[in-house]
Amino acid sequence: MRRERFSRRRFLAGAGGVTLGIPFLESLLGRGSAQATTPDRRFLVFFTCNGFDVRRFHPTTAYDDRLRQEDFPESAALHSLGPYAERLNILRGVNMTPRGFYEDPAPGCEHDKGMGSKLTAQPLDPITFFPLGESVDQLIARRLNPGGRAPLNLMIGPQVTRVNGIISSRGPNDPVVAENNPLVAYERITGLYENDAARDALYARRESVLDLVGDDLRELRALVRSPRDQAKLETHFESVRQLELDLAAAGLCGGDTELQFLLEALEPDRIGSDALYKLVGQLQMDVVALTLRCPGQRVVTLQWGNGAMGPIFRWDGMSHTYNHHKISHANTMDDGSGERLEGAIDMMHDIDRWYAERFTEMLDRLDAATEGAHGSVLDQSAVLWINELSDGAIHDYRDLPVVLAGSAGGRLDTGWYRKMNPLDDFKNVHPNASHDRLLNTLINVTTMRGPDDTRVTDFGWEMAPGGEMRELEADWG
Amino acid sequence: MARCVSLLVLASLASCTPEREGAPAGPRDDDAPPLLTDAGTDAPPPVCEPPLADRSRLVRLTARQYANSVHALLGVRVDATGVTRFAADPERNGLDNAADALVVGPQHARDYQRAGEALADVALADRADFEARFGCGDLACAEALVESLGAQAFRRPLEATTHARYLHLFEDAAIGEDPFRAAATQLVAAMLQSPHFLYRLERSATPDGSGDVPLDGYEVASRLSYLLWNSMPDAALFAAAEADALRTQEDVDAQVDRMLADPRVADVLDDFHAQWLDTDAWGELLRAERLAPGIDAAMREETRRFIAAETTAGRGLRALLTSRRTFINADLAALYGGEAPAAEGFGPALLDPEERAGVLTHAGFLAHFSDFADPSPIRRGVHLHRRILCTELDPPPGDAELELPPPSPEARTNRERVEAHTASEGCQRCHAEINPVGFAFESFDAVGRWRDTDNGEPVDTAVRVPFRAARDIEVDGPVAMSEALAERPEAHRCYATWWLRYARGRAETREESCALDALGAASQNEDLGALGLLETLAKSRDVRFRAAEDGEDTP
Repeated sequence: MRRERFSRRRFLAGAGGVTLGIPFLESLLGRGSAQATTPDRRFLVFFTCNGFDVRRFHPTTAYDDRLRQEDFPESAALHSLGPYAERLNILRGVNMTPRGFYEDPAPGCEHDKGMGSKLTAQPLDPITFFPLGESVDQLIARRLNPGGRAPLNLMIGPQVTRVNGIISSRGPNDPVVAENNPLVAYERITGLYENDAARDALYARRESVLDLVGDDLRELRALVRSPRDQAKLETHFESVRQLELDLAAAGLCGGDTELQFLLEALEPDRIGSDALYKLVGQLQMDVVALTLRCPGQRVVTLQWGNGAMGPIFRWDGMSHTYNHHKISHANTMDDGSGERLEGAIDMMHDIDRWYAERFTEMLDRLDAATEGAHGSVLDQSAVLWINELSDGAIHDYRDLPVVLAGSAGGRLDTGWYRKMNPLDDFKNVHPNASHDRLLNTLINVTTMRGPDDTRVTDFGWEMAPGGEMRELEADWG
Repeated sequence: MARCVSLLVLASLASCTPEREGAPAGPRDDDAPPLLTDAGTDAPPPVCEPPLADRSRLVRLTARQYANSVHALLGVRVDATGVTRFAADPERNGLDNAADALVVGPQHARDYQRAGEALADVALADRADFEARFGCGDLACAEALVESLGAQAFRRPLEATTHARYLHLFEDAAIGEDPFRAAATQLVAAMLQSPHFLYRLERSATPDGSGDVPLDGYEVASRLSYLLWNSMPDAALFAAAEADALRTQEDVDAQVDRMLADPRVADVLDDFHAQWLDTDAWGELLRAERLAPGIDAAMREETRRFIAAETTAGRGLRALLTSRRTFINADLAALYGGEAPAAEGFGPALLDPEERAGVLTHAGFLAHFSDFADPSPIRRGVHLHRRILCTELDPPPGDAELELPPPSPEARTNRERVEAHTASEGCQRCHAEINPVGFAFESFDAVGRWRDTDNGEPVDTAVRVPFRAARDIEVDGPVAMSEALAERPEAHRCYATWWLRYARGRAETREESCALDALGAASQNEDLGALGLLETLAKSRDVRFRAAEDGEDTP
């Protein structure tokens, strides 16, 4: 006895989903906050850890002057970004909120805050050390993605389930551990299947299971009454809805057989190892580029390594003996109890340069994907490169390295080296340079549909200075 | 507020003598006096029975419980499917099974989807085994299959509406060349993603005269099986639930006795102690000296085997802190300065009684809490305070200089350097407690090897550990420290506290203080072992009842 069910998902996949455009998907999934008029912008966070060497990082440009390719000399870690000079904003003097060094009443060591507070502008829970609010990627995805689909959170290196390994957060005490296996991420965006018939069959099976799980959950809702258990069921419901969105969107995104071949060759047990760090990084960047090219997912975070951890860089001319964190402290032990490490600052510089080259490659990938009249995916994106810390040796939260690429569909005024802190010594923090203002601006440039849309000016905790970095914005025109 | 009305806690303690078949007797078996006369008076001390603590009725299986349940249900190991990674369970109070924290977030839902599909494929690959388990191998018996698989997977018989839903799913999926396989695979994949499988749901909702809600047989069966085995109920428990033979305390006690004698209890003993001592975090050792390859894994293995042997034999905290019995391989024998086991791999051995006693003198603990070149009395002391004594310590301030000064004429030894480095009044607020505990273990170097000298000076392990509300510990050396800790009420109460948190999936309540006092005292004075503590917790009223929630009326 077979019952024919012709659901939205089977319809999508079975009718040759690849050809269906994003407006159609939105009309099907119009349950979330995303509207058909949502701007087709992208947001990507490129996150590195353990601080940087400020002395040999930046371009030679004068503050608040235009960036030019020749301002990125060989000696600067950002050298490889020269060709993108006119499409960047490089910010100086930005400091984190909550402030470090216990200057704000916020618990946790600086590594914990550097990770947990960076995308949330929230303090950490004194018991769990997870941030007490939503991160900016989650908020932007809720507004920008069809159906409010959750962002794609990816990382390179071992997954760590404590705060020093997590940058994204769905809400208070609800951290999101990023996926470190690019094959799993690839499967989520494209679906893995041998042919269309196999794909349709898999989707049909998954669809009927998710329908059933939904029915079971509704049944349970009548059985348990406490707010705590109801909240658990709501979380579960939302998780199932996100899987449905994965199913719906996967059919819209064509695969890449060469990439899939490489991803399937990865040994799952070694995904997080240092030996595969560079390779997995490249593959994750391929997945990011593929994702942002497809409709259905516009927000991605890519986290390189973990706070207060590795990797040990032994490639591309680097042959370190100690991991990134130890090098950042110029010490042979993570807790600073070992021997002093000679030449550590040069190693930091080499690592900075290596990450800058990866960031450049990321931009290359986004720029290679054209969007018709809109230019490239990069042009439609706001790409934020930020670090857990500034000077890792002292766990500094001031003058963070901030490189912003792309114009978010013309919403960002690019090509500037900007002094955000009005004070001349960046060791003196200033509310204008507080990083919650940067987050507010990133929310606004990626999600506002017109000049009259409501602006977000208060993302983060109640003691954050609030406001925006309006100078980064282009005029509506 | 404690309701001190019942002798239940002590009464069940008195029946804790481990008399399981095949389990060697613990030290208390023969000569320990019965507990109730231990106070030396005829009238037993008043004993409290705390009110039941509020607890979620919807508790997700931990990753370990999921894996064990799948294995019991289908005979398939999760890691045999190639889907080996699950989003980690959140840690609360050092444990991963806090009921309130276990939810199905997007990552878990995705993991369950992948794992459910893969497990179903593997389960149906051995068609004969599947048929034997569930008594159905063709489409004709679909109804019976849904009933039989469902009742086990969901740990209770299916309601009619649920049964109909799953039958429908099965029939919908019966397509292709092998319709039964396709349908059964889909059925298994769906059931493994169902909230009925993923959560331990307690649907009983009617309070009795006590004001608490008595749980039905299936709910009690699940509570017992996950508490004692970290897995789903077996056939005997299901039979007892069906016969409504888990209603009385006697019913439950009989099942607990049976279950504690079953080898499956080893999983809980292993899981608990690995989390309590955090041995899972004992990772790769990077040390100034070259180490035998794989010795870090051997160190974990030694402690794991030691804990298993001591606790399954009925012993508890005292043995864990003082026993000389252990298991070593050739590399560890070389490190300990003893003879290698005769056979390849691990063999039983006795620690040098002058140098070592119990788990705190195992190389794993000592080496893990060491730095590159030197042992770390601070990290050893902090871990010991937090895990063995339940001392609450604040994290170090963010601007604390973590690097020890190099040896100098005034501070030649590691101990002297730590003392000089933490001498300020601010540091001493915590380090007055932390340092001495760690200093007692200074006779072990950064890899856990015995040493008499440090930087040419004799090692100084004489310490006095101040206690705010109890007599100080004043000892010399690691053996004396371990033996002193084994006699501290704080340590036994702490061990009982960790067990209570683990067993209940929540932090202890203020009202449970007296119960923890009693459990700690039983551990200390009666040598109540890990199994005994588990037995007490399993035979508690807390297993058969749950606290009524707001709005649930008393009849």
